[in-house]
Amino acid sequence: MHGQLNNGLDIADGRLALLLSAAKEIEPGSRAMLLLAEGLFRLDVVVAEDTLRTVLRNLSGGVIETETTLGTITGESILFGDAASYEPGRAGLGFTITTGADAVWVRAMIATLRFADRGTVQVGAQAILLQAPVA
Amino acid sequence: MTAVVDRDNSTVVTVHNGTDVPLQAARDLDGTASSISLAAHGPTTIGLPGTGSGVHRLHLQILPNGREFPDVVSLLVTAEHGSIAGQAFVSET
Repeated sequence: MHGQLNNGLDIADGRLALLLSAAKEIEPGSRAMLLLAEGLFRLDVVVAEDTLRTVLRNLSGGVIETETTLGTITGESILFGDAASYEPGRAGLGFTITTGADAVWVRAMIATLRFADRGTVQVGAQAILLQAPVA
Repeated sequence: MTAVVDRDNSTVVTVHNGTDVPLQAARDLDGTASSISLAAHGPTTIGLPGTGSGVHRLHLQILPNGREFPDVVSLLVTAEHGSIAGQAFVSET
């Protein structure tokens, strides 16, 4: 079962918007589906040693244009308590899906926690999908 | 968000809503999804069991509510045998 939560967002100008979030705990080297937007995209992740690799599958039939590469979305990370022992990592990803005259902007944040005692890595993500303004 | 681990390894997670408005949230606790409301100016408690499967997972997706709370927040909590770790994602809408 894929434990992803999906909810629509009310945007002032009436554009369609969707919030997706999910987490997976995986063993290093294995690949897992992290986020799924039906008919739009699927985001898989692979954790190998200190590297987080993403695999973006286009389910839209349109074109996906990556606007930012992993890690270039800016923001602030705050750690509390013993969080450093989990070796937290963080990355961001942005892309646009264009199908005909319609386009959707996607901004995703991905974060990792390493569970050394279990030999696994938890990968969490939150993505906002926003309908682009009509050109 | 705070958490207290009891002697039987059960965990109580408390989410404090510091805004003037109630907030709606989607919740997934160990694979069971539901909706909850976070009362304005108050705590909401969520219990994670201390028995059964060794690892328990809580996933909350808190939705925006007007200008009082324009953000979206995803909280991910993992608890096992008295240890607990959490991640939070915060984005503006």
